[in-house]
Amino acid sequence: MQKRYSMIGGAIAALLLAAFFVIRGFLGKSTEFQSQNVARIALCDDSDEDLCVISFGKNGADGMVIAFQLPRADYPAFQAIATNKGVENIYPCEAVASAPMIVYCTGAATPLGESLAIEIRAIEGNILIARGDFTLMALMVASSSSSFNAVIAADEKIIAPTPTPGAGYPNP
Amino acid sequence: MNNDLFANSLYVIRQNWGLVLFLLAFIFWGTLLVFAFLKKTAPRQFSDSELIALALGGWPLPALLVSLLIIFLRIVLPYTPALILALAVALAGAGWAIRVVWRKITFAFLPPVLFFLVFVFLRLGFAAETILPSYFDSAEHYRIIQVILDSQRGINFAWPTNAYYHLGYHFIIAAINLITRAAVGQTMLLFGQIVLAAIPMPLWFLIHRATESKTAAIFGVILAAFGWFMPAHAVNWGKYPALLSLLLIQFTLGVLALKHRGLLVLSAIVSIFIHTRAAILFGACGAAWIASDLWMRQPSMRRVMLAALTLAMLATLTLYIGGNPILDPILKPYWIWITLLTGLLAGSVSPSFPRLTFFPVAVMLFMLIGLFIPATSNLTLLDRPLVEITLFLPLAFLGGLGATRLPKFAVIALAVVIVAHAALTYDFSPSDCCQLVTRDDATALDWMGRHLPADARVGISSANLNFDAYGRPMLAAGVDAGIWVAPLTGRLSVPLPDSADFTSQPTRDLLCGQQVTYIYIGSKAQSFDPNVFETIQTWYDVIFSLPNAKIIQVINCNVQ
Repeated sequence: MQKRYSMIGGAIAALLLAAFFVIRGFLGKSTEFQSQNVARIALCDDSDEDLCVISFGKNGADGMVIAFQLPRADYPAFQAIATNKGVENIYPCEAVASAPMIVYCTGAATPLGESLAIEIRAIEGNILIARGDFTLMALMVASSSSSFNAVIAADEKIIAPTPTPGAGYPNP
Repeated sequence: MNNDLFANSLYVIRQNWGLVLFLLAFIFWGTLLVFAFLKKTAPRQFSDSELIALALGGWPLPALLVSLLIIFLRIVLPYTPALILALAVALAGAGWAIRVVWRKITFAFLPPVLFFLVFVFLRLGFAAETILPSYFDSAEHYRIIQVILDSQRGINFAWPTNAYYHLGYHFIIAAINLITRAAVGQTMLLFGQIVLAAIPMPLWFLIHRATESKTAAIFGVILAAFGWFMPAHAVNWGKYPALLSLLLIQFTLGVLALKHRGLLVLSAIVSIFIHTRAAILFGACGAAWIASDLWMRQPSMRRVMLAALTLAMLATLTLYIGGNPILDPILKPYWIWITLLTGLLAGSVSPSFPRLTFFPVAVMLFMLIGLFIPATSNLTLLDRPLVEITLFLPLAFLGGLGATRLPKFAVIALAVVIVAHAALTYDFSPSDCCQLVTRDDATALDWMGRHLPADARVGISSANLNFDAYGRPMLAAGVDAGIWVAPLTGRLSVPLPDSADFTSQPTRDLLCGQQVTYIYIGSKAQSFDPNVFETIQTWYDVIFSLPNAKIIQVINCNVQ
């Protein structure tokens, strides 16, 4: 009986030890970043290993929005500085509350077809974390398919108001 | 398919290790409590592997009770004292449980726990690419959870829905979020995957009780986990309460074997509080159990005839459902060789387990019949998704029974083939059908929450969906990320038909008449066409635009 308890104790100790090393491994990727190790920003479609750009967009008549995907949850708070033809614009950034791995920065629009140098600087210490060069050809990309448009054209043109979904669904 | 499964799971664990550890600790806390209670009250013939497997289905019971306590304490006390008091209760419970099992537990408890942890690892990868939980159901769950979370010390506490609605799942997630302060969507996602991993475990108990074969029990668990693409696919529909209730439904059936009346009643009530239709499923099981008892009392010739009649009714109903375009999807997960194998195995052991093979068949029959029985003017007793999600349970039970017919090596070989089939055929990643929110949508919705006026009314795309046997539509279900406008931004959303023509004067009049001040455009096939808004710049102004998400302001309503 004593031997059995020792075995159980040993198994639990081994599990705890393994858990410790696994957790330490995760934490080992320190929350502090290396200032001398400046990452290159790419589009997320090309690489999402490090900070990457999800998309560029339009914010109002003359504003621009840049959405970033963070490489890890403990990435430092930052702001973006975009330079075009020597003019520097600061883009304050906000984390998406419902999806904290997404951060978007808003600021002045940049002329299309011209190169844009983006630097990412940590709020704390103004340290350069990442940088990349982009050329924006367009800020608005339509996403609907032509087949969808055809469905629209074929459908009825009168809409009826429907109530905001409430307690009726999901079905009980 | 599934090439990135391990990498995705590791990624999810790395990014959310704190939340994952907390969720596992929470679930193991509940499991330990239930295990200790069972260990203390169950007769001695129940092994630790059986009891822990059953407890892995029963943990939502203490989890919900402590969650209700946390929510209640949060209403009457400030945050820190409420948390300390709840933690003290949880620790006291854990202390009692450890004292009960101390020096009585054997190594037999480990295999079900290890199976569960492996399933957790495999299921977590689903969350790697998911921004918010899937489909429009999740948005409503999120909204209800948010209402519970927003209740500040009783002053603003309000029942989160206008009518009766099961809230057990929502209270659990809200309590977890009160403690962890994690993003609600992420908690829903990860908790859902862990629940999914636990669902096959109580079958271990049920099959082992019936067969006294560990091999059969494990085979049943493998069947339930990987045999069909249900129940796993249900996370794509956001059917989290239904999935959570499946755990307690199995647990309740297991408690029947323990003959513990108090626990049975409590478990049944909590199951129904988590998902109302659990009551119907209990009814189907009860009716099937009575039918099987009556059947057993018949002379052998009549038994054969009645069994044939039952199978004929099941086959007829299956064929009828197969011909019904609305109900047909129920059968889709089950039209595969694994179902045939299960049927053959069950048939081969029916002489050894006559009642236990008749019972699941009768349960399936009653579940299918439940699809056609009206409960209210617009609901049937059971709906298509729930039956589709649940049919795997009686089938896996039958398969587990049938495994006793085979030599051990054949069962192992079959189990390996079933796992390989799942790895090659079923997608462990989110389905394209139901991912309404892209990263652009999440960005646009967050921007909306920060910049739109509080009284903004936002038009979103919607369509009528059909779920029941009579084709009665569910009105105005959200079809893109617009469904998340209300839960994430607090702005009122106004569902508009996905086919609305925004260039027409009647539509324009209706928008202005309804005081719709903004329109949200996502990137799904049924989203509004963003291009039409560019054509009439005197009516609409694009105020925020990303490739997959747009916010349009409706302007000049006062100008004739």
